[in-house]
Amino acid sequence: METQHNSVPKTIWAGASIGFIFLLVPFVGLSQRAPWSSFVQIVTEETVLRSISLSMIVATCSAFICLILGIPLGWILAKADFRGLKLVRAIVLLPMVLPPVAGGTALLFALGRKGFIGEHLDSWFGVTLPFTTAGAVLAASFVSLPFFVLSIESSATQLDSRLEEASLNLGASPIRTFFTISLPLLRNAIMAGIALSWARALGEFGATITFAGDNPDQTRTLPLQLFVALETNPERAMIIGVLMVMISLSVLVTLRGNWLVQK
Amino acid sequence: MTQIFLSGTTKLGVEEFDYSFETNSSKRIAVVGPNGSGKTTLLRLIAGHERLRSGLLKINGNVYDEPTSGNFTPPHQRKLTLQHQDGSIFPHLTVEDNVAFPYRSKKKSKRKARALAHKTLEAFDLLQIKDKYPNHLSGGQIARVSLARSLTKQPRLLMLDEPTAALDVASVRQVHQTLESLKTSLLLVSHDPIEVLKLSDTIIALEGNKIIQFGTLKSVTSKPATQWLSKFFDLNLVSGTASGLEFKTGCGEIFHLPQNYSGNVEVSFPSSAISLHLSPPSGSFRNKWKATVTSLDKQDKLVRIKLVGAFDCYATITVPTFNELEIALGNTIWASIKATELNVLQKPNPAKT
Amino acid sequence: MKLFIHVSLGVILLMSGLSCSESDSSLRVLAASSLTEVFQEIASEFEKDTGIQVTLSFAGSSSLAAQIEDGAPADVIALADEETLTRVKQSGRLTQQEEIIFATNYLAIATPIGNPASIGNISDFKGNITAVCSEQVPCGHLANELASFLKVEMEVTTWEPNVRSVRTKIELGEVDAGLIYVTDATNQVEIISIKGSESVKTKYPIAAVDNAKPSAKDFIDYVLSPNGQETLEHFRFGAPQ
Repeated sequence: METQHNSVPKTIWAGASIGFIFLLVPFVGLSQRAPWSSFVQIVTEETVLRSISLSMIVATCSAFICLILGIPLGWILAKADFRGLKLVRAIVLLPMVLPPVAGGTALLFALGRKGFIGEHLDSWFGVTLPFTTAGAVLAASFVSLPFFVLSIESSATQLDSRLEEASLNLGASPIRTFFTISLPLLRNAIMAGIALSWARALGEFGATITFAGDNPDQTRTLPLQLFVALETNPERAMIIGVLMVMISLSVLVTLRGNWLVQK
Repeated sequence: MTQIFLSGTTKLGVEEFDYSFETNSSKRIAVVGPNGSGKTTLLRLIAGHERLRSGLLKINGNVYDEPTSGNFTPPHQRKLTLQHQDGSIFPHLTVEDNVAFPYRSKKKSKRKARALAHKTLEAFDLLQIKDKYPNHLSGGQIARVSLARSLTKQPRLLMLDEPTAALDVASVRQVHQTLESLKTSLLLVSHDPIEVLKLSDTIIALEGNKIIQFGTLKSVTSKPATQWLSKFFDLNLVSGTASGLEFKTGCGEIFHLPQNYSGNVEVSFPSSAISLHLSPPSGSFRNKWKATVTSLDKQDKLVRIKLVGAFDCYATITVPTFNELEIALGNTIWASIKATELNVLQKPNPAKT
Repeated sequence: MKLFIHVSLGVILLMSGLSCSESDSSLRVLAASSLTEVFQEIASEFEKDTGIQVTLSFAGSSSLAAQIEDGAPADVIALADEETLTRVKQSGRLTQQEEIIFATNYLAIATPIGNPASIGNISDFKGNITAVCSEQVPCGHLANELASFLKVEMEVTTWEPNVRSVRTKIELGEVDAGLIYVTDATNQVEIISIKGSESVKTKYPIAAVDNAKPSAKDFIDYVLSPNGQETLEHFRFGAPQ
């Protein structure tokens, strides 16, 4: 820290401090107001426990979906060159800037029971996604995928392409090169992407309530529980808020911090 | 012996490249030229990382790239290796797994690949560091790992892009020693004239993304086609043995060295450092010898003269000096050089194997 | 596309509880989402008559209550039930004036056009995909009351944050049936009235928030005036008792 103090101008430090405080203050407020004495009691309530486990399932499944879809997508955005690439990139990043509610509505039109794809899912396979845990996973994946893709793309662009060429030179096929050279080199970006998309999925609310509704057994994740509590029992809402901060913080610190520091 | 046939053009961005040459009996080819003359692109083209726009690339009779027929062999199917200057060692693999990588590419199991790599690791003196990761290796060790890995593929042609540019003197010597003992055909990009003189028998000279001279080492060094080339090859290389301040050439001529050395050494000096005299020079010149003029090459303001005596070398003098001395083919004259102009390279001890 | 914009904007506004700050001179009215169209109409008539600008915010009643508790600027509050208003009173911002009931409402079953799941009454909800307001908002509270009054078990797939998102999901055909206020019927849903549901009514209270602008009283009076009541009736709201 001391050496950094010397090399970074004071004005930058001042700006950074203000920015950090701006981000920190709401959490201080939350933890200050939270009725800590009832923390354990509320967190161990059956409905809250159910929400916790639903949230874990949804966040984990959607991080997995992000992993499967995000790696090829991020790779193509970083490496490919074709007409309309810019447009593709913009569309991929859209869920990041769109209000999640709009995303959820759009999902309804596509994958809802009467959506242009969902209609066929329903009539051919009898699958309906809205108001199910699968729907909640889908909604969460929709909003968190861009975070994963960005993480992969920025890393893949910086990847030393000579290493991949060396692999080809040594006889490894392009697909083998991808799996044995490119992917391992992207390890940190993948871990960071998992952490980010997991945390984003955990906090997902708007798209979930719009697309997957609010069903206590299927889709009432922690943010939905928080939303209900906010209007009926603010104390409960604060406890759930604190709980979410704790979960997200520990995930971001351990998973992301670890993989970014390690080489 | 690897036969390369290349006659074609390509384009990268706004730059156009035009290459045409054919090798039959050469084993060690050096690609030389100024910066940005298209050397690396030539190697990448042969490796398959760039494609021809027109023309034909054939290696040992196999068509690798022919735009008109649509024939293109992808890089991983070509029986050659291109090794980049920094070695491009995979940072996430140990030394052992780096060297075993070509075997793994042939779908060998990890265990089998490692077993097969053992011999190479041994030959390159890498067994002790086989479990290390590249970020714990010295530049010289990385060079060895890279070379070992390139060779595990058993390529018909090994292409090296400035293999010693970033290495210290001791590592350079080590790499040169290895390359000299190789049986694999070499195609080498180099900025180091000594390296070229030592390692190659054929020269491809590039300038402006085109081949401007192609021929044996002898023919190119004796008659360089451009000023850049004559400047590049403006070096003489003499080998012999040193003891203290004395250096003895193969024929028994004795030179005085600027510093103490012992054992096998190579002495290099620029041709322009040689002074020519009609009679034995006196005074401070302690390194002097008698030689016969066997060729003359007049260029603009300079004359390049080949001298044959105790050893062969070139001298470059200005036209006025040349006229003053009235040098003609077949003349016997005196040559001299200051000890401070001599650049001494310690030769490695004879290889153990 | 138009529907998309309509629905998404609608949902965003309903759920976030729009809070714009146009000008300080205008009267700020927070109203339950079931009042959306009728209050827009009343507000524009009021503006025409008095020249007083009205800024409307619509949300689920419980959201509005939470906003008031958190100190959101407001002059008039109109909610969809009395219980929620009681909650607001506890916040200490409704101490100066008594609330007045200005309308009533009751629930009906709504289905997509054609009633594909052949829903006849609340007991048919079983085994189908259904949407009802979440319990913390008046329409959800009323739905529970209705079910116990009819002595039927009500099976619900999704508890929506407000009555408008229930209707949206019915309009989109994403659910087979739901409970909405009779006043929320549109030509995009089919309404099936429930026998006896008229006797389970919710009462809409309106009140001026403490330290409201003087025009707050004018607005409340206007809502209660024959003109205002006529407009409410036009939108199918029931009379105050």
